[in-house]
Amino acid sequence: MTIERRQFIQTLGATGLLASMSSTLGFSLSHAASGARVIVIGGGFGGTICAKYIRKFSPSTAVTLIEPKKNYFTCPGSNSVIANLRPMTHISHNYNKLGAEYGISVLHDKVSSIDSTTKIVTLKGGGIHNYDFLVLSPGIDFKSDTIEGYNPNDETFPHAWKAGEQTRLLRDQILSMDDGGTVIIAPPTRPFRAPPAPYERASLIAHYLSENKPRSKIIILDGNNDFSKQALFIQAWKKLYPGMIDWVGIKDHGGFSAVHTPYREIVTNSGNHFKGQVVNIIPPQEAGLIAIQSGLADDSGWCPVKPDTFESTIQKNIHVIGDSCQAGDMPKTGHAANAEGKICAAAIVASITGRPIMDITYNMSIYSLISPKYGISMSENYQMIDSRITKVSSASSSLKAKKKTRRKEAQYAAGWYKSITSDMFK
Amino acid sequence: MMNRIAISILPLLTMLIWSTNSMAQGPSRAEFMASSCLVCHGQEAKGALKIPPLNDLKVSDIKESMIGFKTGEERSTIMGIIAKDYSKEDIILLAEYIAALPD
Repeated sequence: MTIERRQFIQTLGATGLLASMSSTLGFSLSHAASGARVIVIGGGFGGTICAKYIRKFSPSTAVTLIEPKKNYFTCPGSNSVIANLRPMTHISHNYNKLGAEYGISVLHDKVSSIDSTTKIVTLKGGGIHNYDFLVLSPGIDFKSDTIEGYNPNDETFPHAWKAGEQTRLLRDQILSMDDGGTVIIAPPTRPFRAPPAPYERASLIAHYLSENKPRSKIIILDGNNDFSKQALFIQAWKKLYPGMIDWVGIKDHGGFSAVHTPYREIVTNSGNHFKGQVVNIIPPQEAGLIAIQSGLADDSGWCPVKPDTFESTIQKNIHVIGDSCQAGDMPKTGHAANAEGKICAAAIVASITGRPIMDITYNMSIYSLISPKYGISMSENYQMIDSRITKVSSASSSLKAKKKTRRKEAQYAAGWYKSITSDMFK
Repeated sequence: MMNRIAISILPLLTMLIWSTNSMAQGPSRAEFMASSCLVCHGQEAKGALKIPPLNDLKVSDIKESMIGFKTGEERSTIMGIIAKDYSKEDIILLAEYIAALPD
């Protein structure tokens, strides 16, 4: 829609004329106007997609994307950076095309508050923006005070569970570690972002160590008693990195009683002291801070949403997608956020145009690299059953797959990364 | 006075609604479903590295492959699971949409 038309509508709207005439003509205001304004908060795997697909599905809808970072580093691919297989630039992306080619107004700012009554978002930089529909895709934040002596912001133990500077810090620690050192990786109890990613991280660090520091060890102190694609990971570790990775489930270590940062030590409830030259605690997680502050999360720390539109069940006209929301059987992955971004975009456009929501089958795949030439995958399909996003089928790579298939899946993982980031940024 | 404004604006307004409506239709079922395929097969299904392009295939090729993946007759890494829960009608919609993408 041209500016003149928008002004025209606003002028009409101001006189109250449009409202009275529209009811005569039998359509709703929101229908006509497409002066509909959507604000998307968070420019990651969910937010970029939702913003871009609203513009694709409804070019007359105005979309504003609010994201503080000018360069966005993806978590997918970041384990390859940590293992020194790829440079930081490989996982760095910018928002230029979303503005130039899709007409999205990209604001690099932080949100200071959301007023759901007046439908206003206020930015730290002072900007005040009205919306008809608001989408939050703020990813995750870390719960505070969950482990005595541990602070997720302490750079001594980089979590690297939000990519960027943290990724660089962990990589540099791995690179400067002595041969014979120990790396501890400590995933939290589920749910957390990217369920197989701690084990991919262990695998790729093992790849680096086996080539450069072969006397070193990796200990995984898990907050769970099992993990994603477990049989496939264990099989591959035995084959590629025999004796290098020890996995300890929570029933054996009992959880953490304290962390002593200066000694690079974790003390467990079972009374054991684990020391590592590199300690990578992946902190317990909850919905992104802005979602929590805006009262969109329940006691679980995650945001309940309607499964067909991703509209919050707590506040009308606010949608929550990606890692922050409770999406039934869908896990917290980049590919799931991509699907949720599209479902949410289609639902918002359906609401603007007064059309019904489409019920489709959708899917999510997650690749993990064990080495640059050894990939495994897991894929799931979902349908809406009894008003819930329900997994209807799932499969992982075969335990019997040949070397050639593992290599193919590693290549497909690289293709997936190229495509999904193009979907977001190009 | 108000009435005269209303009357003079009416044709304009009708045109405006018609044009914004046509711009804001939303995706077809095929476009919406196909947006899933592009996550791996790339923009306009042009492929990415070793993930094959689909936009140069014929409707019948895509349809046959998807049905082959669905029944397990055609071997794959992950397409067997992805194709499994699409109905035959949706497979035809997808095949027609993807085959029509620019080469």
